[in-house]
Amino acid sequence: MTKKLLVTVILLFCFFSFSASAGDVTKDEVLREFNAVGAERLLKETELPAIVYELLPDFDPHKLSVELLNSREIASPMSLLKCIADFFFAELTSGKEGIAQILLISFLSGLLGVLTKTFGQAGIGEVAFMPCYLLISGIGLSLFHGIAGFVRDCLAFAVEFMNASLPVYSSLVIMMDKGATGLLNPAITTCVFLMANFVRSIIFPAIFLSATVSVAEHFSAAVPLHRLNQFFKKSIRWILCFVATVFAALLTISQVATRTLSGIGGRAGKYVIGNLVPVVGGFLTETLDTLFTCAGVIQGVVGIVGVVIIAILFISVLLRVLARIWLLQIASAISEAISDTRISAFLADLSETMSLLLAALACVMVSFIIYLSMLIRVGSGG
Amino acid sequence: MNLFSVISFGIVATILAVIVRQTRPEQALLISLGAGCIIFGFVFSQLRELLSWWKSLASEFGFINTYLSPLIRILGVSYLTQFASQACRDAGEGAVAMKLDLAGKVVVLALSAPILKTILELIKNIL
Repeated sequence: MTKKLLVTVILLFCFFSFSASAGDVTKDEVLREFNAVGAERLLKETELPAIVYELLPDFDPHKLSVELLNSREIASPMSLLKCIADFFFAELTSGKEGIAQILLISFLSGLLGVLTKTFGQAGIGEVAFMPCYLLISGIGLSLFHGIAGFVRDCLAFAVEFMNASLPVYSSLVIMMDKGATGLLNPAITTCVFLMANFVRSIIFPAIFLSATVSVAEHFSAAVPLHRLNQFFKKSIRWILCFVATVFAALLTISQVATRTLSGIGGRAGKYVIGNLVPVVGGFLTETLDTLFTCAGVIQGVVGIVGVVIIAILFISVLLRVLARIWLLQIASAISEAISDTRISAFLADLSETMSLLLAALACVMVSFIIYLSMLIRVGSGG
Repeated sequence: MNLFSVISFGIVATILAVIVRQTRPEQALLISLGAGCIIFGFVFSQLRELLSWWKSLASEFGFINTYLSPLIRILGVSYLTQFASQACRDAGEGAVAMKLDLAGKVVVLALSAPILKTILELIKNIL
């Protein structure tokens, strides 16, 4: 219910911008219209997902929209960075129990390794390693499952939003003039729509399968599953890259990216995204120009509130996944020193699988924000 | 018993076993086994301290007790079985040692069955 209400509010924003900027209107008129359409009441009553407030405790969509309408600064970059850092470290702290448990079992399996080395026979020490490994893989998979739940909710929201907005969107394409129609290339819309659905129904289960296969892969050398696991991972990467490339190509063809990203901040952002985001970093860098162009288009429009809500939702989940990847990498590094290499290899593998989750989510996030920007552009008359 | 006493005891037992083996090899075997048991007792008391520390840490980090006891039991069974089978091998009873190993493995597998069941259920839920 909450999700549906949120979808309604964001859609309202997108189309409110149409009525607000249809003619030459003053700020007061815009504010009056803002209240007249009931946006203020809806914004106050809408319950956003808890994760939004975990990242930004003082977030108030209504206040944000009023500040935007009055062209005032909405938040200082330093306070935003502080919120992000706080959230990230809180995530690291919340995952410490699982990691501590993994390390404790690693220590126990290290004792078993000592036993095997002392008596010079693998025998029972090897059999006793099995429950230790299974328990570690269980904790690792639980961590993975927990974080995947957030990603799944986020994707479900994106897909639900697209499903809800697509009919209205199509109607607008028919109603609008050729400028808007040119922008609203149906191929791009379809691509965004397909990408979100594709990630949710194909990539996502494949990532789960890969995580499960990695448990079996490192369990014993007698079970040769390395190539199968690599096949899954490579397939996921290739599919993501393919979908992302098609999307980027469509954007280029339809000449949405009319402006280029400039300035040191923009270049630094591109460099960071290109190098730090796994798998699809290159694609994201390429589409960043478009993203910024779209962001430029919607600046000063009430609809940006919707984009802000979506961005916060996605960013908080991305940060959560990133924190877990980090924790797993740390656990892998420590367990390599105290225990069997199979445990550290499994943990490293799991963190790699989690990074695929991050890549898929980042991919959907960028395309979704572009889609939202286009939606708002239609609302403002193209 | 500190480490110095254990080392001294081990060396004395070895010298004694070597001397006795020349005249009464069966008694040398008993000396060797007895010394092994005493040294293992020392190791076990140290291991117990280590495990109680591990257990308190595990409880502190919210480790579920259902898995805590089987893990400690598995470790104990492994050490005991490995020690016993090695003693049998030292006595030249390779066949008995093998059977002891087998018994130990079966017990470890039986103890790890609940863990395996939980993991399989988790994988089933994930997929």
